[in-house]
Amino acid sequence: MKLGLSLYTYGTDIHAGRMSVDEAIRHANEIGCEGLEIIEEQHFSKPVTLKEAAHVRELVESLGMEIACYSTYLNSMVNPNREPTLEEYIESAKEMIAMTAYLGSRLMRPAFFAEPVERLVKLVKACLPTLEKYNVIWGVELHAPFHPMHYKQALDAVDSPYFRLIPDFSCWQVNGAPGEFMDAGLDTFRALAPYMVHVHAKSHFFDDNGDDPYTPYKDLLNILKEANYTGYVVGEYEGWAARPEGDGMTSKQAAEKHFRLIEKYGR
Amino acid sequence: MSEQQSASYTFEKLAERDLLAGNTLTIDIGGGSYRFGVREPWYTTIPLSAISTISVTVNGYAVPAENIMLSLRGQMIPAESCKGIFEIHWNMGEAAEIVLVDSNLSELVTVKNTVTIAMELRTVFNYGLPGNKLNISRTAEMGVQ
Repeated sequence: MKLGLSLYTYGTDIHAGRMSVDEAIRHANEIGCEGLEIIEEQHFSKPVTLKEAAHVRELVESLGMEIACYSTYLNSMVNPNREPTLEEYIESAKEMIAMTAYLGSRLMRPAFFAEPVERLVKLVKACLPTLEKYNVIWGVELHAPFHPMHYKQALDAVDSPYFRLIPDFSCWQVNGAPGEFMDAGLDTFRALAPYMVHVHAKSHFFDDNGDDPYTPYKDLLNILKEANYTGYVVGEYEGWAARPEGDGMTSKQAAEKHFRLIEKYGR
Repeated sequence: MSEQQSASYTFEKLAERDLLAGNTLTIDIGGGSYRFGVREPWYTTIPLSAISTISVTVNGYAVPAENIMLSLRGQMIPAESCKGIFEIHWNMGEAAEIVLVDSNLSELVTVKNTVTIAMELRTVFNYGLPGNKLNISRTAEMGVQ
Protein backbone atom coordinates (compact mmCIF):
# COMPACT_ATOMS: atom_id res chain seq x y z
CA MET A 1 0.00 0.00 0.00
CA LYS A 2 0.97 3.63 -0.46
CA LEU A 3 0.82 6.16 2.34
CA GLY A 4 -0.13 9.81 2.38
CA LEU A 5 -2.32 12.46 3.92
CA SER A 6 -5.53 14.21 3.10
CA LEU A 7 -4.93 17.95 3.23
CA TYR A 8 -8.06 17.97 5.42
CA THR A 9 -5.56 17.12 8.15
CA TYR A 10 -4.19 20.67 7.96
CA GLY A 11 -7.58 22.18 8.78
CA THR A 12 -6.55 23.94 11.98
CA ASP A 13 -4.33 26.43 10.25
CA ILE A 14 -5.85 26.54 6.76
CA HIS A 15 -9.32 27.26 8.20
CA ALA A 16 -7.94 30.03 10.39
CA GLY A 17 -6.00 31.63 7.53
CA ARG A 18 -2.61 30.84 9.05
CA MET A 19 -1.43 28.38 6.40
CA SER A 20 -1.65 28.21 2.63
CA VAL A 21 -2.42 25.10 0.62
CA ASP A 22 1.07 25.28 -0.89
CA GLU A 23 2.63 25.21 2.58
CA ALA A 24 0.57 22.17 3.50
CA ILE A 25 1.62 20.35 0.34
CA ARG A 26 5.29 21.11 0.96
CA HIS A 27 5.05 19.97 4.57
CA ALA A 28 3.39 16.70 3.59
CA ASN A 29 6.29 16.09 1.25
CA GLU A 30 8.84 16.89 3.95
CA ILE A 31 7.43 14.26 6.31
CA GLY A 32 7.43 11.55 3.66
CA CYS A 33 4.00 11.39 2.02
CA GLU A 34 3.84 9.61 -1.31
CA GLY A 35 0.53 11.15 -2.28
CA LEU A 36 -2.17 13.56 -1.17
CA GLU A 37 -5.89 13.97 -1.16
CA ILE A 38 -7.15 17.43 -2.04
CA ILE A 39 -10.65 18.70 -1.34
CA GLU A 40 -12.18 21.08 -3.84
CA GLU A 41 -14.29 22.90 -1.25
CA GLN A 42 -11.36 23.43 1.09
CA HIS A 43 -8.27 23.88 -1.03
CA PHE A 44 -9.42 25.59 -4.20
CA SER A 45 -11.56 28.59 -4.90
CA LYS A 46 -14.98 27.78 -6.30
CA PRO A 47 -15.48 27.45 -9.18
CA VAL A 48 -11.99 26.04 -9.58
CA THR A 49 -9.87 27.78 -12.19
CA LEU A 50 -7.58 25.83 -14.50
CA LYS A 51 -4.76 28.13 -13.43
CA GLU A 52 -4.92 27.16 -9.76
CA ALA A 53 -5.52 23.50 -10.58
CA ALA A 54 -2.45 23.46 -12.82
CA HIS A 55 -0.42 25.18 -10.14
CA VAL A 56 -1.30 22.54 -7.55
CA ARG A 57 -0.77 19.67 -9.98
CA GLU A 58 2.66 21.00 -10.97
CA LEU A 59 3.67 21.66 -7.38
CA VAL A 60 2.70 18.16 -6.28
CA GLU A 61 4.46 16.60 -9.27
CA SER A 62 7.59 18.71 -8.76
CA LEU A 63 7.88 17.28 -5.25
CA GLY A 64 7.66 13.71 -6.51
CA MET A 65 4.19 13.08 -5.12
CA GLU A 66 0.82 12.46 -6.73
CA ILE A 67 -2.75 13.53 -6.14
CA ALA A 68 -4.16 10.29 -4.84
CA CYS A 69 -7.74 11.52 -4.69
CA TYR A 70 -9.71 14.63 -5.59
CA SER A 71 -12.64 15.10 -3.21
CA THR A 72 -15.69 17.16 -4.07
CA TYR A 73 -19.25 17.67 -2.89
CA LEU A 74 -22.44 17.20 -4.87
CA ASN A 75 -24.47 19.70 -2.87
CA SER A 76 -28.20 19.21 -2.83
CA MET A 77 -29.38 22.40 -1.15
CA VAL A 78 -27.53 25.33 -2.75
CA ASN A 79 -30.99 26.49 -3.78
CA PRO A 80 -33.15 25.81 -0.72
CA ASN A 81 -36.26 25.63 -2.86
CA ARG A 82 -35.15 22.99 -5.33
CA GLU A 83 -32.81 20.01 -5.33
CA PRO A 84 -30.81 19.55 -8.54
CA THR A 85 -32.33 17.14 -11.02
CA LEU A 86 -30.57 13.89 -11.89
CA GLU A 87 -29.43 15.52 -15.13
CA GLU A 88 -27.92 18.44 -13.21
CA TYR A 89 -26.11 16.08 -10.84
CA ILE A 90 -24.76 14.21 -13.88
CA GLU A 91 -23.45 17.43 -15.41
CA SER A 92 -21.76 18.42 -12.14
CA ALA A 93 -20.23 14.96 -11.80
CA LYS A 94 -18.87 15.09 -15.35
CA GLU A 95 -17.15 18.38 -14.55
CA MET A 96 -15.62 16.76 -11.49
CA ILE A 97 -14.40 13.84 -13.57
CA ALA A 98 -12.74 16.19 -16.04
CA MET A 99 -11.10 18.20 -13.26
CA THR A 100 -9.83 15.02 -11.63
CA ALA A 101 -8.16 14.04 -14.89
CA TYR A 102 -6.76 17.55 -15.33
CA LEU A 103 -5.19 17.26 -11.89
CA GLY A 104 -3.50 14.07 -13.01
CA SER A 105 -5.44 11.94 -10.54
CA ARG A 106 -7.22 8.67 -11.24
CA LEU A 107 -9.66 8.91 -8.36
CA MET A 108 -12.42 11.26 -7.31
CA ARG A 109 -14.68 11.21 -4.29
CA PRO A 110 -17.91 13.10 -4.89
CA ALA A 111 -19.75 13.30 -1.58
CA PHE A 112 -23.39 12.59 -2.32
CA PHE A 113 -26.29 12.03 0.04
CA ALA A 114 -27.21 8.59 -1.19
CA GLU A 115 -30.36 7.84 0.70
CA PRO A 116 -31.75 5.63 -0.68
CA VAL A 117 -28.68 4.20 -2.40
CA GLU A 118 -30.61 3.62 -5.63
CA ARG A 119 -30.14 7.34 -6.29
CA LEU A 120 -26.40 6.80 -6.30
CA VAL A 121 -26.63 3.77 -8.57
CA LYS A 122 -28.57 5.76 -11.19
CA LEU A 123 -26.11 8.64 -11.02
CA VAL A 124 -22.98 6.52 -11.27
CA LYS A 125 -24.33 4.38 -14.10
CA ALA A 126 -25.08 7.52 -16.08
CA CYS A 127 -21.50 8.70 -15.55
CA LEU A 128 -19.74 5.42 -16.40
CA PRO A 129 -18.99 6.33 -20.05
CA THR A 130 -17.34 9.58 -18.90
CA LEU A 131 -15.41 7.82 -16.15
CA GLU A 132 -14.12 5.30 -18.68
CA LYS A 133 -13.28 8.02 -21.20
CA TYR A 134 -11.19 9.96 -18.69
CA ASN A 135 -9.94 6.82 -16.90
CA VAL A 136 -11.15 8.15 -13.57
CA ILE A 137 -12.55 5.99 -10.76
CA TRP A 138 -15.53 7.16 -8.71
CA GLY A 139 -14.82 6.31 -5.08
CA VAL A 140 -17.86 6.29 -2.83
CA GLU A 141 -16.95 7.25 0.71
CA LEU A 142 -18.24 5.02 3.46
CA HIS A 143 -18.40 7.07 6.66
CA ALA A 144 -20.13 6.69 10.01
CA PRO A 145 -22.97 6.71 10.89
CA PHE A 146 -23.65 4.47 7.88
CA HIS A 147 -23.13 0.78 8.47
CA PRO A 148 -20.09 -0.67 6.67
CA MET A 149 -22.31 -2.63 4.30
CA HIS A 150 -24.38 0.43 3.31
CA TYR A 151 -22.88 0.68 -0.21
CA LYS A 152 -22.38 -3.03 -0.86
CA GLN A 153 -25.61 -3.24 -2.83
CA ALA A 154 -24.66 -0.21 -4.94
CA LEU A 155 -21.17 -1.55 -5.63
CA ASP A 156 -22.61 -4.84 -6.80
CA ALA A 157 -25.36 -3.16 -8.81
CA VAL A 158 -22.94 -0.94 -10.74
CA ASP A 159 -20.35 -3.73 -10.94
CA SER A 160 -17.58 -1.68 -12.54
CA PRO A 161 -13.90 -1.12 -11.81
CA TYR A 162 -14.72 2.56 -12.21
CA PHE A 163 -16.91 2.54 -9.11
CA ARG A 164 -15.10 1.49 -5.95
CA LEU A 165 -15.15 2.04 -2.21
CA ILE A 166 -13.37 4.56 0.01
CA PRO A 167 -13.86 3.40 3.59
CA ASP A 168 -13.33 5.85 6.41
CA PHE A 169 -12.02 4.43 9.68
CA SER A 170 -14.86 6.24 11.49
CA CYS A 171 -16.97 3.14 10.85
CA TRP A 172 -14.59 1.06 12.97
CA GLN A 173 -13.84 3.46 15.80
CA VAL A 174 -14.55 2.15 19.29
CA ASN A 175 -14.19 3.03 22.98
CA GLY A 176 -16.55 5.99 22.93
CA ALA A 177 -14.97 7.84 20.05
CA PRO A 178 -16.43 11.26 19.14
CA GLY A 179 -19.93 10.75 17.87
CA GLU A 180 -20.24 7.34 19.53
CA PHE A 181 -19.74 5.50 16.28
CA MET A 182 -20.84 1.90 16.02
CA ASP A 183 -18.64 -1.05 16.85
CA ALA A 184 -18.99 -2.67 13.45
CA GLY A 185 -16.46 -5.44 13.94
CA LEU A 186 -13.33 -5.93 11.90
CA ASP A 187 -14.85 -8.69 9.80
CA THR A 188 -16.88 -6.07 7.94
CA PHE A 189 -13.67 -4.24 7.03
CA ARG A 190 -12.11 -7.50 5.85
CA ALA A 191 -15.16 -8.33 3.74
CA LEU A 192 -15.02 -4.98 1.98
CA ALA A 193 -11.29 -5.04 1.19
CA PRO A 194 -11.76 -6.28 -2.40
CA TYR A 195 -13.86 -3.20 -3.18
CA MET A 196 -11.44 -0.65 -1.74
CA VAL A 197 -9.57 1.79 -3.93
CA HIS A 198 -8.49 4.33 -1.29
CA VAL A 199 -8.73 4.47 2.50
CA HIS A 200 -9.36 7.37 4.87
CA ALA A 201 -7.43 6.70 8.07
CA LYS A 202 -9.54 8.89 10.34
CA SER A 203 -8.29 10.10 13.74
CA HIS A 204 -9.48 12.60 16.32
CA PHE A 205 -6.96 11.99 19.10
CA PHE A 206 -3.47 10.63 19.67
CA ASP A 207 -2.18 9.29 22.97
CA ASP A 208 1.30 9.73 24.41
CA ASN A 209 2.56 6.80 22.36
CA GLY A 210 1.31 8.33 19.15
CA ASP A 211 -1.51 5.79 18.87
CA ASP A 212 -5.18 6.54 18.37
CA PRO A 213 -7.05 5.14 21.38
CA TYR A 214 -10.33 4.98 19.46
CA THR A 215 -9.22 3.34 16.23
CA PRO A 216 -7.60 -0.11 15.81
CA TYR A 217 -4.96 1.06 13.34
CA LYS A 218 -2.79 -2.03 13.71
CA ASP A 219 -5.67 -4.41 13.00
CA LEU A 220 -7.12 -2.37 10.14
CA LEU A 221 -3.80 -1.95 8.38
CA ASN A 222 -2.91 -5.60 8.89
CA ILE A 223 -6.14 -6.57 7.16
CA LEU A 224 -5.15 -4.39 4.21
CA LYS A 225 -1.74 -6.07 4.09
CA GLU A 226 -3.30 -9.52 4.19
CA ALA A 227 -5.60 -8.49 1.34
CA ASN A 228 -2.59 -7.31 -0.71
CA TYR A 229 -4.20 -3.89 -0.93
CA THR A 230 -2.19 -1.65 -3.27
CA GLY A 231 -4.06 1.66 -3.04
CA TYR A 232 -3.48 4.63 -0.78
CA VAL A 233 -4.10 4.94 2.91
CA VAL A 234 -4.30 8.65 3.68
CA GLY A 235 -4.49 10.15 7.14
CA GLU A 236 -7.55 12.30 7.69
CA TYR A 237 -7.10 14.03 11.02
CA GLU A 238 -10.27 15.67 12.30
CA GLY A 239 -9.32 16.70 15.82
CA TRP A 240 -9.15 20.31 14.67
CA ALA A 241 -12.89 20.30 14.10
CA ALA A 242 -13.94 17.83 16.79
CA ARG A 243 -12.73 19.79 19.78
CA PRO A 244 -14.54 23.03 20.60
CA GLU A 245 -11.44 24.99 21.55
CA GLY A 246 -9.05 23.25 19.20
CA ASP A 247 -6.57 20.49 19.85
CA GLY A 248 -3.55 22.47 21.00
CA MET A 249 -1.48 21.36 18.04
CA THR A 250 -0.42 23.21 14.94
CA SER A 251 -1.47 21.60 11.69
CA LYS A 252 2.11 20.56 11.03
CA GLN A 253 2.35 18.83 14.41
CA ALA A 254 -0.94 17.01 13.89
CA ALA A 255 0.00 15.99 10.36
CA GLU A 256 3.34 14.56 11.40
CA LYS A 257 1.83 12.65 14.35
CA HIS A 258 -0.82 11.19 12.12
CA PHE A 259 1.52 10.23 9.33
CA ARG A 260 3.92 8.54 11.75
CA LEU A 261 0.99 6.50 13.10
CA ILE A 262 0.10 5.31 9.61
CA GLU A 263 3.73 4.49 8.92
CA LYS A 264 4.03 2.60 12.21
CA TYR A 265 1.47 -0.01 11.16
CA GLY A 266 1.28 0.46 7.41
CA ARG A 267 4.90 -0.07 6.34
CA MET B 1 -25.35 11.96 21.26
CA SER B 2 -25.85 10.79 17.68
CA GLU B 3 -23.27 11.22 14.96
CA GLN B 4 -25.40 13.91 13.34
CA GLN B 5 -25.74 15.89 16.56
CA SER B 6 -22.06 15.49 17.26
CA ALA B 7 -21.11 16.81 13.83
CA SER B 8 -23.37 19.80 14.30
CA TYR B 9 -21.95 20.58 17.71
CA THR B 10 -18.33 20.31 16.77
CA PHE B 11 -18.50 22.17 13.49
CA GLU B 12 -20.51 24.98 15.08
CA LYS B 13 -17.76 25.49 17.62
CA LEU B 14 -15.12 25.45 14.92
CA ALA B 15 -17.09 28.06 13.01
CA GLU B 16 -17.30 30.34 16.03
CA ARG B 17 -13.63 29.88 16.84
CA ASP B 18 -12.41 31.27 13.54
CA LEU B 19 -15.30 33.61 12.67
CA LEU B 20 -13.56 36.90 13.42
CA ALA B 21 -10.56 38.03 11.42
CA GLY B 22 -9.25 40.85 13.57
CA ASN B 23 -10.45 42.90 16.52
CA THR B 24 -10.72 46.38 15.11
CA LEU B 25 -13.59 48.46 13.90
CA THR B 26 -12.29 50.54 11.02
CA ILE B 27 -13.97 53.83 10.21
CA ASP B 28 -14.18 54.44 6.50
CA ILE B 29 -12.96 57.73 5.13
CA GLY B 30 -15.71 60.26 5.64
CA GLY B 31 -17.02 58.39 8.68
CA GLY B 32 -20.07 57.02 6.90
CA SER B 33 -19.51 53.39 7.76
CA TYR B 34 -17.61 50.96 9.97
CA ARG B 35 -16.10 47.63 9.02
CA PHE B 36 -14.52 44.62 10.69
CA GLY B 37 -12.97 41.42 9.45
CA VAL B 38 -14.70 38.04 9.33
CA ARG B 39 -13.63 34.69 8.03
CA GLU B 40 -15.76 32.12 6.23
CA PRO B 41 -16.63 29.91 9.18
CA TRP B 42 -17.91 26.60 7.84
CA TYR B 43 -15.50 23.70 7.27
CA THR B 44 -16.02 23.90 3.52
CA THR B 45 -16.56 26.64 0.98
CA ILE B 46 -20.16 27.83 0.90
CA PRO B 47 -22.36 29.59 -1.64
CA LEU B 48 -23.72 32.84 -0.24
CA SER B 49 -27.15 31.21 -0.24
CA ALA B 50 -25.98 29.29 2.81
CA ILE B 51 -26.13 32.53 4.81
CA SER B 52 -29.70 33.00 5.96
CA THR B 53 -29.08 36.00 8.21
CA ILE B 54 -26.26 38.15 9.56
CA SER B 55 -26.94 40.16 12.71
CA VAL B 56 -24.60 42.64 14.40
CA THR B 57 -24.80 44.58 17.64
CA VAL B 58 -22.38 47.31 18.63
CA ASN B 59 -22.38 48.28 22.31
CA GLY B 60 -25.85 46.80 22.63
CA TYR B 61 -27.26 48.59 19.61
CA ALA B 62 -28.72 46.19 17.05
CA VAL B 63 -27.72 47.41 13.63
CA PRO B 64 -30.77 47.14 11.34
CA ALA B 65 -30.42 44.27 8.89
CA GLU B 66 -30.68 46.58 5.89
CA ASN B 67 -27.58 48.44 7.10
CA ILE B 68 -25.34 45.36 7.15
CA MET B 69 -23.24 44.47 4.11
CA LEU B 70 -20.81 41.66 3.37
CA SER B 71 -17.77 42.89 1.46
CA LEU B 72 -16.33 39.86 -0.36
CA ARG B 73 -13.42 40.28 -2.76
CA GLY B 74 -14.46 43.90 -3.21
CA GLN B 75 -18.11 43.12 -3.88
CA MET B 76 -20.51 44.86 -1.50
CA ILE B 77 -23.40 42.48 -0.92
CA PRO B 78 -26.37 43.39 1.28
CA ALA B 79 -26.55 40.79 4.03
CA GLU B 80 -30.23 40.31 3.39
CA SER B 81 -29.49 39.38 -0.25
CA CYS B 82 -27.05 36.57 0.50
CA LYS B 83 -29.71 33.88 0.81
CA GLY B 84 -30.72 34.38 -2.82
CA ILE B 85 -27.22 34.22 -4.32
CA PHE B 86 -26.32 30.72 -5.49
CA GLU B 87 -23.31 31.33 -7.72
CA ILE B 88 -20.97 33.47 -5.60
CA HIS B 89 -18.93 31.37 -3.20
CA TRP B 90 -17.12 32.32 -0.01
CA ASN B 91 -14.12 30.05 0.19
CA MET B 92 -13.21 28.14 3.33
CA GLY B 93 -11.32 30.40 5.71
CA GLU B 94 -11.34 33.32 3.28
CA ALA B 95 -11.28 36.73 4.94
CA ALA B 96 -14.00 39.24 4.12
CA GLU B 97 -15.49 42.23 5.90
CA ILE B 98 -18.77 43.16 7.51
CA VAL B 99 -19.60 46.76 6.63
CA LEU B 100 -22.08 48.68 8.77
CA VAL B 101 -23.63 51.64 7.00
CA ASP B 102 -25.50 53.33 9.81
CA SER B 103 -25.29 56.98 10.83
CA ASN B 104 -26.38 56.11 14.38
CA LEU B 105 -23.06 54.38 14.98
CA SER B 106 -21.04 57.59 15.01
CA GLU B 107 -22.59 58.46 18.37
CA LEU B 108 -22.29 54.95 19.79
CA VAL B 109 -18.78 53.90 18.88
CA THR B 110 -16.12 54.63 21.48
CA VAL B 111 -12.47 53.76 21.93
CA LYS B 112 -13.44 50.24 23.07
CA ASN B 113 -16.56 48.52 21.79
CA THR B 114 -18.41 45.30 22.37
CA VAL B 115 -19.29 43.84 18.99
CA THR B 116 -21.39 40.71 18.50
CA ILE B 117 -21.94 39.04 15.17
CA ALA B 118 -24.45 36.24 14.76
CA MET B 119 -25.03 34.21 11.63
CA GLU B 120 -27.68 31.72 10.76
CA LEU B 121 -26.26 29.30 8.24
CA ARG B 122 -27.81 26.51 6.21
CA THR B 123 -25.82 23.48 5.23
CA VAL B 124 -25.93 23.04 1.46
CA PHE B 125 -24.86 19.41 1.62
CA ASN B 126 -27.42 17.14 3.21
CA TYR B 127 -25.73 15.78 6.31
CA GLY B 128 -29.05 14.82 7.85
CA LEU B 129 -28.62 17.49 10.55
CA PRO B 130 -31.76 18.63 12.35
CA GLY B 131 -33.13 21.32 10.06
CA ASN B 132 -29.76 21.50 8.33
CA LYS B 133 -29.23 24.80 10.15
CA LEU B 134 -26.41 26.20 12.23
CA ASN B 135 -26.55 29.22 14.50
CA ILE B 136 -23.21 30.72 15.39
CA SER B 137 -22.15 33.90 17.15
CA ARG B 138 -19.06 35.56 18.46
CA THR B 139 -18.56 38.60 20.70
CA ALA B 140 -15.35 40.58 20.87
CA GLU B 141 -13.99 43.79 22.28
CA MET B 142 -12.90 45.96 19.37
CA GLY B 143 -10.87 49.09 19.25
CA VAL B 144 -11.28 51.72 16.57
CA GLN B 145 -9.00 52.99 13.88
